[in-house]
Amino acid sequence: MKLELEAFRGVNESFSINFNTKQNLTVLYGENGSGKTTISDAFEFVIDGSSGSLEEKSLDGKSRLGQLVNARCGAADLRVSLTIQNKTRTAKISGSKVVHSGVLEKQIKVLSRRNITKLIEETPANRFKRIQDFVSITALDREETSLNSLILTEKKNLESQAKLIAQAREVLVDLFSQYADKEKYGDRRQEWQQDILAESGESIARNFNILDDLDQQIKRLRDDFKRLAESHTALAKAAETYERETKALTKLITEHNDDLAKAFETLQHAQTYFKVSGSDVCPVCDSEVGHVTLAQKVDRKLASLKAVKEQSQKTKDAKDARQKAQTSRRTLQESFFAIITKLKGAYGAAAETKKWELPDLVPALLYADKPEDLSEEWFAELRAQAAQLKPLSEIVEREHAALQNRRKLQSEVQAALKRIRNSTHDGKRIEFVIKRGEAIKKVLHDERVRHANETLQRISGNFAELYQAIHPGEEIEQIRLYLHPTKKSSAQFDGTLFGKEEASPVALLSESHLDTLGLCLFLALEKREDPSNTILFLDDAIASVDEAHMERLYELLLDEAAHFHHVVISSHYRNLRFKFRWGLLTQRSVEFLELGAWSLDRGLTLTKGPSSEVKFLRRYVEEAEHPSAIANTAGLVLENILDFLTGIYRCRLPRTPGAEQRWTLDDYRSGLTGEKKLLPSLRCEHLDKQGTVRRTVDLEPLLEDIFARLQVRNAIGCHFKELAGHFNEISEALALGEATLSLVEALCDEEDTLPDRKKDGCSWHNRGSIVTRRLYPLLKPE
Amino acid sequence: MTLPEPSTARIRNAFTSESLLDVDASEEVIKAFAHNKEINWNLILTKQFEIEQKDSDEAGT
Repeated sequence: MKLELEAFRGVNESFSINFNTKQNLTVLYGENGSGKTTISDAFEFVIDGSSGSLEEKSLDGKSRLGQLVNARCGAADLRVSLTIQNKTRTAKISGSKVVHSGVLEKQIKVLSRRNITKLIEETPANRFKRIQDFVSITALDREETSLNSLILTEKKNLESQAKLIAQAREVLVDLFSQYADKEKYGDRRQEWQQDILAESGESIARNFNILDDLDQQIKRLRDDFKRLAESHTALAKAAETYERETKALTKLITEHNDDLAKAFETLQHAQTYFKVSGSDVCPVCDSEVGHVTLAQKVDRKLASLKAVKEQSQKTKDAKDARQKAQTSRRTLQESFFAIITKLKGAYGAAAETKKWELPDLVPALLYADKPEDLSEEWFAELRAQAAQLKPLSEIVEREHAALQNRRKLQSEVQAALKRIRNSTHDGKRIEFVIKRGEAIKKVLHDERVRHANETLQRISGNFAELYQAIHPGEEIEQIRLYLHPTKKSSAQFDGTLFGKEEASPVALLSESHLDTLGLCLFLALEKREDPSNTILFLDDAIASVDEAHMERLYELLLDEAAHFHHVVISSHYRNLRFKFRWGLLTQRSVEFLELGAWSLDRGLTLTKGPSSEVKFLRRYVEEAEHPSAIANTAGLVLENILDFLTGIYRCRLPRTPGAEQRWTLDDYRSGLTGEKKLLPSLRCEHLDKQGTVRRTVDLEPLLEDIFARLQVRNAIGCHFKELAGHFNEISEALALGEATLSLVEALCDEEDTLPDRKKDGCSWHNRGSIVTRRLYPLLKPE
Repeated sequence: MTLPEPSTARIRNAFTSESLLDVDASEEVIKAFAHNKEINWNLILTKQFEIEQKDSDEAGT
């Protein structure tokens, strides 16, 4: 698994780190500020797109993504890649977003020092939020909420239905008080309702229509009466006019007993002739006449004839008017007769029902058999009998109005009863939904709680086992995580601690115990969900664990790491580093990586091998304060060097069949000194850059000096303390440290690396293009 | 997380043993859980009401 960073946080150019996932666990050691959290942030950035440790920090409004960019670079330069089994996922920043390419089916879970106890110390509600992904069944939560919402809505609907029913009942009460015959019904509203509803709506409608029709015909009779009556008068008048004009015409015609009308046209032409010509001779008989006189006579004749013509026209017009009046009267007669016919029909239909006591129709209406019967005399008769129609009209109007009210009343009563009926039925449905919904909701709720508690019980069992593995025999039993029995989304955390039941761990345990509890809970939770595709990063999460518990914790983490894709533990805990290097903590299935000191120019660096130990040794020797640190580190450096020497010269070392081979310094010493010809032959040439040998150092005296001091290292630097009191610790440690550094200076190059190359075929030399160290001999002398 | 099998079985059993839903409705709900689909409880319960109402009416007649 390879993580590559560019322009990310403390990385100014590029930095890559390989994790050997064949080992389950990587211990990433680094002093404070070396970049451990940068690496965990890089994991989170490339997998989740989050800003890692910055997520929960206040940055005073500054963009979190922006703060991930190295101070000397631009956002476009930032790039993080993670490669697992030849698949690569890359993350960059584009604008205000993280852009990913590539897919890795892995998830990253980081537990930092700051968050380790959050799960334990938080409120039950916040604790639940953190664990709900593990214990919640989303569908159950959702449907329980949905049912609850439905029940609340239906309860409101039930109230509305009750109000509707009450309102409808009030309407019935009002209608009863307003319309019911109190003498007949008293307080018996139900009986009144039944009677109202007993009459069929169709029957009421039919009777209503009959009376409505009769009423309409009576009104039409009344409205059209005057028109028809007036038509008689109009006709009489027209007839009179015609008669008068006819008489006038007759008189005019008799006064003119010749066919002057026929001569009218001739006289008109003569008139025109006399006006145009000035002749005094008659155009007919050629006699001399006074044309003026003749013209005057023609004019007089024409004038008299014109009167006839005009009168003739008048007579004609009068005749037309009379004709028109006759037609109009005829039309009105027919129309009125139609009304009478309909009226008789409507009256007959009404009488047939026998529901009303209707007075008879007036005789005039009864004997009118055809339109022509509706003469002026008939009208006079009808007019005389008109008053007899009034009672009929009043009864019809009254009964019509009564039927209208009855129909409306029946409609309102039916509507109110229907509302009551529907609301009652709907109310039953709503009550059913509420009651059954509550029952189903309880089933879902119980299942949700049961599932969550079973899951939490398993998790509790697991983390309790983990915790007991670190703190055996500490009277902490049954620590459990469980849902509050009544409060939703509330996770309780307690146990039997030191004999006290339902005790809160937060109250009774120390900070370091709470840390390990939090760590165990974290591990138990993360094991639940696809651990084989999970990378765990414990970022300085074990800082507070004391030495007494460190080994157990370490072994536990090693066992638990097997469940996950990979586990990385970062730490600045020096004891962990030393214990790991001493082999007191198993190196089986563990990889150890060490970050060097960070600087603005170099960024993050990885250190490895003895060179880092050498730097520490130099510092400790310079400080001259801690004999055990000096002795420890000297021992580590010596282990590497002696392991290298015994390796390249194939020295005999003790072998333990069937076990991992681990040698002590004494074993290495025996191996080297056992090769009689080797030690005296060991020498190292120091060369300058031009390849000139500047000095040659024999290694035997340096090694002998160191071998003589190995007891010091064992006494002071190891866990054996029995001999410690026999030594002046600091001076002896310093002497060992300085002797070791002398050997390093003699054997290693400027980078403190060993001469482990033999390309020239005659010596071992250092790596790189410039050879500054040559170790002889190439082979062990036989 | 979808409904695990033990939860499905318990819910189905509760629906039928307590006569909360008839078989078809119960299966409809279980199927919705299996596919993580939202359930229209109003429809389910209204149908259940009509079924029980009809059974009650038939029993009464």
